[in-house]
Amino acid sequence: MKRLWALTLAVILSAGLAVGCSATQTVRNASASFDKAKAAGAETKAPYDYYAAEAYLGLAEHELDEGDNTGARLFAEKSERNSAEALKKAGGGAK
Amino acid sequence: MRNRNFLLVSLLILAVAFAAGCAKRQMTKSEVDRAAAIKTKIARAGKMGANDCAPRELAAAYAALDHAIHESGEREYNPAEVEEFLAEADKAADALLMKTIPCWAAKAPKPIAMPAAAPKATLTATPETIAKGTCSKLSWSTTDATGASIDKGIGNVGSRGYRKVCPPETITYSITATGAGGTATSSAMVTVITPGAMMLENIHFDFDKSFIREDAKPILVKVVAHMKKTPGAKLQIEGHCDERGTSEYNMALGQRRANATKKYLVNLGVDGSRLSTITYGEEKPADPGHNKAAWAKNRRAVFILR
Repeated sequence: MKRLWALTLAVILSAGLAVGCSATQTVRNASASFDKAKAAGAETKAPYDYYAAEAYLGLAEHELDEGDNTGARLFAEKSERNSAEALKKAGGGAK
Repeated sequence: MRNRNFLLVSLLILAVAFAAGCAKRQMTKSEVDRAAAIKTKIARAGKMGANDCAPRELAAAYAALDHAIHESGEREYNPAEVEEFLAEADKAADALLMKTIPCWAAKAPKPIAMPAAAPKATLTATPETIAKGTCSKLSWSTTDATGASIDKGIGNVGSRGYRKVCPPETITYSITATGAGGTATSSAMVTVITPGAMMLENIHFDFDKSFIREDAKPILVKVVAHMKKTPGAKLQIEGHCDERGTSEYNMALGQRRANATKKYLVNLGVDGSRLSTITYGEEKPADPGHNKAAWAKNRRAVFILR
């Protein structure tokens, strides 16, 4: 009986950890994408996408700090999409 | 077995609780309305070219609105906090509009300035031929002109009017109209005949034609009457043309006009030996203008009594 409880607890903890780690990783990925867009000169070549990526990355980091993993992931994904678009417009995508 | 059932029920309860916890809170009507109003402002800026005019502000406004919507749907809903986020988004949308509107206004196509219309001027003398000591009436009209003047001592005149002129000798008056679109000129010749000579009016012709027009026939009847009254008089008929066409062609056309006039007079009973013809082509225009009115005056036959 005790073993079952321990197992259940472990599953729940693992799930929680996985969600948290996943959000952190998403924000990291978004940050890396934004850095690439920035390096490609997207600020001048694709300003809207660049600033949108920046704004959503800021929100994602804020939500992560607040412990809102769902929000962090949501905004990080938006940031990443904008970074990708900015990078594409800036001509810095994969050749 | 009992333990396993207990565990399953516990897991089920946990799952339901987890799902309930994940379920998003519904926004209040007031929040939905505010968010919609902010979205409208952003969309308006977007239509005005915010993407180019204020990309940073556009991105900030969208992000702030998304943030406010996200916060309003959280489980740990805090009305004051959501209000603050909505106010922030509204402020961002206002800042976006503030930056976009002047940029949009500057980019809006300017009304094209229509070029000023070229002025037009017409000057006529009635009658064109007078006896020495008598007078003619100059009539003029101008359009799209800011000022007009007639030479030969007349000076500035209004946009339209008339004036009696009594020149001692043949004279050509010219009006010059000036406006924003340039200048235009028109001239009228007053032919002065010495006393004792019959005033013989000119006759006019259609473009590139030499047949005698209906309006010329009464004038020619008068010419015939004069010739019959003064058997010793001789008449030279000058044929003239407007400036269009080559000089050679117009010399020939002027001759045809003089010939047609002579033939008409002969048919009415004038002895052909008393009539001579000459062509000046386009060389002696009555009106030096380059417009239809001037050309109409120049297509003529002139009678010179000798």
